[in-house]
Amino acid sequence: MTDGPLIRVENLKKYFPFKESLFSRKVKYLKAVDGVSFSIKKGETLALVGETGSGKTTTGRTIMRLYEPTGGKIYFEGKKITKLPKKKFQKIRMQMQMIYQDPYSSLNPRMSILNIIAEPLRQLKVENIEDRVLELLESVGLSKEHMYKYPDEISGGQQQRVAIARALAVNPKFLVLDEPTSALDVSVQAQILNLLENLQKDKNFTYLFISHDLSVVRYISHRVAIMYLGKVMEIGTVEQIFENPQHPYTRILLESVPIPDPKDRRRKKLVLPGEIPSPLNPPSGCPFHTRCPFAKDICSEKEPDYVEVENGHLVKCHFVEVMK
Amino acid sequence: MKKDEIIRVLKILIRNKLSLLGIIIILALIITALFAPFIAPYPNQAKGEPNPEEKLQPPSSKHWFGTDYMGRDVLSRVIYGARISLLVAVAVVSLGLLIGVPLGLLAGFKGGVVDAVVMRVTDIFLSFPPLLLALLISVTLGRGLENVIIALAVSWWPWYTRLIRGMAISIKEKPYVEVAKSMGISSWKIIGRHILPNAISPVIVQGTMDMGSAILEASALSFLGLGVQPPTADWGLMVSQGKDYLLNYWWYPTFPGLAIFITVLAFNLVGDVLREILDPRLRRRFL
Amino acid sequence: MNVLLSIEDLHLKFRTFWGTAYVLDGVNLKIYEDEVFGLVGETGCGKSVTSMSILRLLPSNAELSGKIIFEGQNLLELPEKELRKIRGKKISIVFQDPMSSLNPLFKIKTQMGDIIKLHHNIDKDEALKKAEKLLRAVNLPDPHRVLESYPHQLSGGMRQRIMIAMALSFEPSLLIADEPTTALDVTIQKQILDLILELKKKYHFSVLLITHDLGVVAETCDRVGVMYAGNIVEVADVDELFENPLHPYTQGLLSAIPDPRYKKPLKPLRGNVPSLLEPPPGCRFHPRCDFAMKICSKKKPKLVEYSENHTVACHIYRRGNEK
Repeated sequence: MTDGPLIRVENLKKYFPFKESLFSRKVKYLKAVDGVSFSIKKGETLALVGETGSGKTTTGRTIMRLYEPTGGKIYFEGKKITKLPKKKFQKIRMQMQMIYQDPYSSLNPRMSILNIIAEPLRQLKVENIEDRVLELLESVGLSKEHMYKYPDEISGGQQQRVAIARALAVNPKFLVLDEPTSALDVSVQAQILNLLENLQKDKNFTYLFISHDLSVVRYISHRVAIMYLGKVMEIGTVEQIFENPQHPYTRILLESVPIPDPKDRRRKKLVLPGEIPSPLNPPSGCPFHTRCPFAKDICSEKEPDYVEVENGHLVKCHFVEVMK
Repeated sequence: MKKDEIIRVLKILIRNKLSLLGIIIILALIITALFAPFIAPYPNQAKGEPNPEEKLQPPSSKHWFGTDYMGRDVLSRVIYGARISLLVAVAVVSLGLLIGVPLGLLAGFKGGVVDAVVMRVTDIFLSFPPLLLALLISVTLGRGLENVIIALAVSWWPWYTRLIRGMAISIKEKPYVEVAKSMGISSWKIIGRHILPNAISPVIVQGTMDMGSAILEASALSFLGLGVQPPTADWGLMVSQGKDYLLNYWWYPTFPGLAIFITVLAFNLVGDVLREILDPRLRRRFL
Repeated sequence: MNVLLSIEDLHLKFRTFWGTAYVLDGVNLKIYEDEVFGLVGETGCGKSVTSMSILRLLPSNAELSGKIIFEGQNLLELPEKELRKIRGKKISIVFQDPMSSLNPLFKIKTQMGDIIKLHHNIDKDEALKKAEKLLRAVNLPDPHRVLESYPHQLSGGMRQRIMIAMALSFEPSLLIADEPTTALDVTIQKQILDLILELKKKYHFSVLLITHDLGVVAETCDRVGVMYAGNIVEVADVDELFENPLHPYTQGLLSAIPDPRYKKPLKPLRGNVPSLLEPPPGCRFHPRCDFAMKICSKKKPKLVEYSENHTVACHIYRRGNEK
């Protein structure tokens, strides 16, 4: 088990039922996550990258069973947790914690920082709670002076540190980080990213890092999965994805990221036409074919399988071989 | 609420002219009610002792607000009436909150069947015009102050239930509640620590304003003869008794009526400002 | 190059629930004709309120002083009636969230048509024709369908294109774009930024681009002003700013942002943005500055020219004196 992945997801699906109109009888399904598979090793960071409606957040929440999966299997330390009854799952759930995009809404504004972090400790019947809270605060770079403050009296970056400290209180193994820095300013973002990286080194945490920001992903992750309309289009190590992107979507996504270097501006770049289609009505075949500059007839007819271009580098495209 | 936030809210309430006026009036009422026997010029008349020699005297230096049909000093009776009115206000709103808030929290947090049952019951209560419902209950229970309070509280709680249920539903979706759940915190603790403290502000505002409305409705019940019984000094009752004398002896119903008006206004002034302070989106306007 | 808009010693105070906030502390800024000027900074640095001050679109608890000169007139002293001739016409603005600028109950046709009709004094048919032309100018495919749609039926990117089209309908000489792409996905962001640059080339207006994203600045702007806690701390040509950042804050920002091209170590700035209710005395950056000297907590540094087209407000640099 020590060598096995901490988290393994197999063909995960999450469909949300909806009705087309108020009176229609037919129930349709929004396929937010549609057959996602990956695994994350202990101490590794996998980034889930995608645009609005790609299903990246839903994937994270379904893994934590905040949403019940429609199909597929989730394994935690080799144990299948998908069908586990709620009571039994609770123990495992403690080992999986989530950090949210908006730190303010993840902290109860009516509780002091001390009480926020003490709550899970009391639940676990920890002794010397105040000492432990201080220890946790110090491990995220805060100090005693923050203990008696309230969430709206500290900055966004400090709020996110508190949220992290609270997650650490239950000694988790796996953290789902849902855009943890996108509500923060750049100077503070770097603080949080460094903190997350150091914590991972110290405690061998496993991260699922959900983000739309490729610069941040480049910095924090070991492996990257690119999602589009509920499907993983390409997955590989961070070097494979950023230096040798194979899927046309990945390539265009990378080209679209603004680069903080004016010299880069003169380089001609691919621009992706159109917009992401509605997940309520996804295109047939390859979901990306409506925007793909290289699309051929087959792309609208048949969904491509994964092709392994390098060790562990999978691409979901009909023309990977050709493009090489 | 945090200590310094309460202080800051109080500071603004005092700095704002309208709410300051409201607070002063309410404080004056409380003092009046507490010290009625010392303030009222004729405490015995306020308690009902007739004074047939001075029937229906106009306001004078001896009787500032004049006298009623039994010659009793209207000012003294208005002062004693503050006791009844404040008692009704506090009792009705507290009882309403005591029933309404827990039910609303439970319905909003639990959802499903619990929610459906609680909400249907409140719907039934809310489908009656509030005064009519209070009237029906009053008639069933019989006359008297306690029955007025019970009748009004019973017609009152569904409003709080509905208000706090809505808040609870939006708050239970917040990440901090999700985190608490994921850490295995019990539902009761989540409701007590996370939902209630964050849902209570609008209820406090509503409760403040309702103090005024409760007085108004209790007065209405007294006016209709269902509330407090003579010879107790009650504003509603005094207006009711005085209405027949309005044309020739205007002071008799006017001063108790004025007392009702000013009290209701005071609670509304404070409630209005409180709402704007407690709502962060409106906060900016009151500086 | 001619100066189009000049902001001189702009001070702005907000009275708030918590006390008085000193939001702008003497902002000086020039925007030239036919350029893209980027105003960059973090939350609360005052970049957005600077742009709102230009059009006097501030809430009632704001107190503004200083000068904003546009076409020889001080916009801050102009009567409201005169200002209306400038607002939305000579100076247009595009906001971060286009949904909040569109009325969800009316079709695009009605909303665009009404505005164009009103201001151009033309009839409905002509107004619609003009609307269609404008939508075509912002590369919206099938303008007919767009005009017949309600705002919620369109995507964020399309709505932002409509806002740009509306902003252009009076051929403004200055377009203020306040975080125009922050709510959009990267691929759409790229489209919108390219569109703004393309239109600028065609119609020769100036753009005041307000953003927190240094990547966006690098890709679109000609000149950049960096703001911190209500002050402009550095202004330079875009190449110069990225190559030779002078102000410790600018340097800090540049070393704190990750680069998608390679993994570089991130050096975060110490501490947090100061509260504007009690801003630090002297240079507002000094509590976070690694090079802070005694003078920094006492005297506020002036914006001085360091080299051609490069000004900086920092005590480390004195005029004509290299470091």
